[in-house]
Order: sequence, then structure tokens, then C-alpha cells
Amino acid sequence: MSQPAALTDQIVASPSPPKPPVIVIHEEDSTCSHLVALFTNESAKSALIKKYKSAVTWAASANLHKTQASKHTAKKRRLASPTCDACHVVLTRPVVCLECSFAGCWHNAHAVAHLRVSDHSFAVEAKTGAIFCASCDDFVYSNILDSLYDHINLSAAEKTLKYRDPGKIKEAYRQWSPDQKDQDFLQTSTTEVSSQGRRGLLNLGQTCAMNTILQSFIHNPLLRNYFLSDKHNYKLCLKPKDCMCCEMDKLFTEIFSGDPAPFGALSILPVMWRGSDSSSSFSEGYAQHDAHEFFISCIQHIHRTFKGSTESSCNCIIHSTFAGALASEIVCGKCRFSSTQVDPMLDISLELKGKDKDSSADEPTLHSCLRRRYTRAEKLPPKTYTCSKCGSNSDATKRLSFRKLPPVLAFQLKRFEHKTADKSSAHKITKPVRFPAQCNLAAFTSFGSNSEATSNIGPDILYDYDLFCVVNHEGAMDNGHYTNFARFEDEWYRFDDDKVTHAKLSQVLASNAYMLFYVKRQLDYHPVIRPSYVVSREKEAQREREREKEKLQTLNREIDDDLMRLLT
Amino acid sequence: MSEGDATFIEIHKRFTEKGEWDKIITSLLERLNETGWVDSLRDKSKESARSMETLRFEKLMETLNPHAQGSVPEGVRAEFVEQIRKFLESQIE
Ligand SMILES: [Zn+2]
Ligand SMILES: [Zn+2]
Ligand SMILES: [Zn+2]
Ligand SMILES: [Zn+2]
Ligand SMILES: [Zn+2]
Ligand SMILES: [Zn+2]
Repeated sequence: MSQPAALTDQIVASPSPPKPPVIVIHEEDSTCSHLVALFTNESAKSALIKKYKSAVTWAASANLHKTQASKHTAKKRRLASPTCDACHVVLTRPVVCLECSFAGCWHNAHAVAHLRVSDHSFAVEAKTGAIFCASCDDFVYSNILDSLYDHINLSAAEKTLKYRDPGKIKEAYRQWSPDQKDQDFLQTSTTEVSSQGRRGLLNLGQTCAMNTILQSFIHNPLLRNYFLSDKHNYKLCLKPKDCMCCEMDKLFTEIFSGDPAPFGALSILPVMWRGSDSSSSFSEGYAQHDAHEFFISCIQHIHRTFKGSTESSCNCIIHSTFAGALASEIVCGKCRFSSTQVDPMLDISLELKGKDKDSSADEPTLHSCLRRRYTRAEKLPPKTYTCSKCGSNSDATKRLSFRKLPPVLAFQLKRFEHKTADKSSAHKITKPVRFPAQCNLAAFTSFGSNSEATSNIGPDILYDYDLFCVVNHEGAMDNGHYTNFARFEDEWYRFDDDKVTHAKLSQVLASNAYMLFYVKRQLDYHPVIRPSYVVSREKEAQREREREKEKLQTLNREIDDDLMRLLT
Repeated sequence: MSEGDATFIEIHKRFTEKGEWDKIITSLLERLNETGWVDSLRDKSKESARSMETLRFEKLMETLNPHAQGSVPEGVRAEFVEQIRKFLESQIE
């Protein structure tokens, strides 16, 4: 099957990650019969789409302009805001008629009044792209306009990025639409399965920690898309045994098999045990452990058994999903000389102790924990640092920030305190930490917290993250139990080993979180690069062919020579 | 149009033209998100919509508006009222 260029040798990901990969697209779907009727007329349809596009494009660029402008100290020319054609109030959220040039307000009902008097049918709220139908007398849904809205906003953001920094490579997102060949293949050679992989996992004897982490993998859009697109097929893998990528592939195969019965992930722990050195806590038979420890150990195993993984700047599925970089900048208090060290990271552990001075809220939040660690300059104790320029060893400050944010951010809230090496004396911090369903991390990047570099930060939407999994630890430290919440599209579910129940967002956010997983809303795409191991394998094969050819030629020449000798 | 409306429109215009409106809205949203207001409103909207027999935007707005207005934390409200007051004072010479 031919694959679109953007997807080969890359993580397969859609622009809004939580959505499942679309296979059959553009089947029309709308809650409004009037819109469906209008769309049967090609010229009316293209006229409406044209107006819709221009209204939404205007709002998208005004919005990008706004987030850019509010960060600049220098005043920029602002886009003139339109006013309501009826009451002249400045429209911060214009509702635009899709049949004439009217723009009006929602609050004083002037937009709806316009549709009534002029006998026009549809208007759009330009900021959200929501369509109002006069005949339905309500906002309506249309999948065609919905995906058009996403597309317009994404390409508007991509444009500002290019404009801002022409040297930077940001591959534009291209939607994959199956061509005729693909369609035929899909129809004849594939069976449709549900894109919702939701299956409980059996507790195999204190394996609840493992189960919650496996659910976090299953609901991780990047890992899911990688394994579901058959990038590591366990039936074709050449590793003789103990391949953690194969274990993941088997897990995804089971979860998406359509079988609703709980699944026992039996083979994962033995593979972990055999792959660990004896000093690690994953020695034979040990199951009950910390979910975060399991997470770290498991992703390292996947990384290690991934074909072509490397010790630095690795492109394996784990590193392309979780790897980011932290910068720690030390500034000398005497001569202001600064030196920056950049370190790779796969997850973030946050301290819950200590007071947040800046926050007026009493309750700690994910943001207050992040602020405490990633934006504030911290005074270094004297004599711990010597300036390489002036030699001073006092008054230096250190500041941590994100140099590169990963596609998936894994947070651990450090609830377990180990006062001594003895694990039994550890104690659990139970205080709740508030965390949001969506957050923007621009302020914690090296750009966001440095006033000179703010112009380089790019549109805000590049730093938006959505929560997709929360791991909870219930009960006391030594006899506790792990459960988790995970999201599919816009619905949340609670996983308690083999039990899976529907959940509300409020339940998720009120839970006492131990780990949080966020996924970036807009992924960065790299141009397609063939992995180096593939390139070298092909080169080797080419050389081999040439050697064979040479051998053959030499042989032929020898035969020729022999023949010549015979003849003469 | 009443005189009050006209004054509001004029003041609102100054807020948006000077970029003050965008600045206030952006930081207000950030604060409200951190306090959980945004998520609790989202949750309430979704659950109310789910339980409505026939889903209507206007009806949904009617049920949500009082909750949304009433649940803004006191500290956040005071802080932003103060910001608006300061801007207004700077505009009246
Ligand atoms: Zn109006
Ligand atoms: Zn009109
Ligand atoms: Zn309609
Ligand atoms: Zn394998
Ligand atoms: Zn790797
Ligand atoms: Zn110095």
C-alpha cells in the first residue's frame, strides 16, 4: 500500500492527536438538514465555503497577531477591529453573515436579527467557526466546516512561523486522503475495527502499577499510531526474544482486537526481568512497585530493543514521543556572564514541598509547581560555582527552563518521600494538586521567560497541551492501589485493573494525581528522513551487488581468455 | 440607544483599540484556567448538554451564565476589576 510521504518513517500522527486516524473521510455529516440541502448545490456550497473561509481566516490571523503583539514590548500595528453593523460595538467575537457582508454582535442579538430581516440562512461566529442556522434557530454541526476550521487555523499558525523564522524547518501538515488504489486496497484487503481500544487489564498479582502505565501507553496517541500502523510487527521482528517493542505490538493488537474481555499482560514482566541488570528493582518476581519506576524502566526497555536506537539524539518511538531538553542557565552576579547547559529529559518530576510565594492561591497547582522550578532564578549557595570569566564565586543565579518541549509530557508529582534508604519508612504526601485539562507551557520555555527572546516564541498554540491520562495512587504507601483515568477523544474513562467505567472530567480533575500525561496539540513535523540504519543497510547491499558483479566480470574474462587460448 | 449604552460602546472601543482588551482577556483566561474555573465550566457545559432532552445553545447559555459569573474566585475578580479601573482612570483626563 502506498503511504503518504509525510507518514513514512515518521510517527504517524494527526494534527489534533486525540482523534483516531481517519480512513474514510468526507462522508458528509451534519445536524442541520438545511445545510445538507444547500451543499447539494455545488455553486451555493462553494460560495458559502468561500465566505466561511474568509471569516475564519480573518479571525485566526487576528488571534495570532494578538498573541504575538501582547508579548512584544514594542507596539505593533493592530488589525482594525470590525464593529457591529447595527449597534457599532467593537466586535471581539464577530458573527458574520455567510450570504452578505454583514457582521454583527451576538450579545445584543443583532446578528440573528439580520438573518431574520434579510431572509439570510447562515452566519458564522468567526473565532470558533460555529455555524448558526436561521431555520434551526440554533448553532449546528457540520463535519466539513469543522475540519475546514481546523485546517485554516493550523495553516495560519504555520504561516506566522515561517514568516518569523525563515531558517527554521517546520514541515506543513498534509492531510492524507486515500487515492483510488488505497481505497480499493482498504475495501478488498482490510477489515474495519473500532478505533476505540478500551479494555481492562487483569491484575496478575500486584500488577496494578504496571496496568496503569500500560493504559497510559494505550491512550498515548503517538505510541498508539506507531504500533497500529504496523511499524513494529511482532510476527516479522528478527529479534529472537525479549523484544519490548514486540511486547508493545502484541499489547496493542490485543487491546484493539475487539474482544471486550479483560486482558492479562502476562509476558511483559518476564521480559522486563530478563532485560534488567540485577541492581535494578525489576529483578525476577518483583511486581509491586512504583508506577513511575515502572514507567521509566519500561520506556528504557522499549528504547533499547528498538531497531536503530542510539545513545544520543535517538529517533526511536520513545525518544520521538517523550524526549525534550532542559536548559540550565547560570548567570554570574558580578560580571553577568552566563553559561548554559542543556540536558535531555524524558519526564518531569515535581516537588510538592515548599511554598509558592507568588501565587495567591493556597492550593498548589501544576503551574505553581512548574513556576517554582522552571522560571525563577535561584540563588546558588556561595562557592558552589566559579565564574569562568571573572573568577567570582558568589552571587551566581541559576534558572531552569524548557529548551525543547516534547510531544508528550509526563509529569510525576513526588508524593513519596524517602527519608532514609529504607523504603518502609517512606511517607506519602496526600495534599491535592490542581491540574488543568489544557495548559499552555510557553512561559516555561527558554524563550518565554527571557524578554529578549520573546519575539522568537511563535504562536501560542504551539505550546498548548491536552491532558490524556492521570495515574492515581490510593491508600497508604505500603498497601496502596493504583488506578488511572484516560481519555479517548472527548470522553474520560476510569481504569481499575479489569474494571472500566465512564467518568466525568470533574472526577478526573478532583482525583489525587500521582502522574499526569499531556500531549501537544500541534505536533512539529520533520521532513522525511530515512533512518541512518536503513541508508547504511542499502549502501551495504549496493556494495555487495557491485562486488558480485565484479566477481562475475572477472570470471567471465577468465573464461573468455581461456576460450581465446583454446582458439588460437 | 440609551446614553449608558453609548458610553459603554465608546469605552469598550478604547479598550480594544489600545490592545488593553486582548491583554486583559489573555491574562484573565490564564488565571481562570489555573484556578480550575475554565475546566469546571467546561465540565458543567458538557454534562448539562448531555442531560438536555433537546440540545439548544441558548438554553445552555441560560443555565451556565449564572454559574460562570458566580464562580469566578473573589481574588481574581478583585484583581481584574482593579486593572480595568486603572485603565479607565488613565483614560479620563
Ligand atoms: Zn450589535
Ligand atoms: Zn446577510
Ligand atoms: Zn438548519
Ligand atoms: Zn520486536
Ligand atoms: Zn531511543
Ligand atoms: Zn563573572
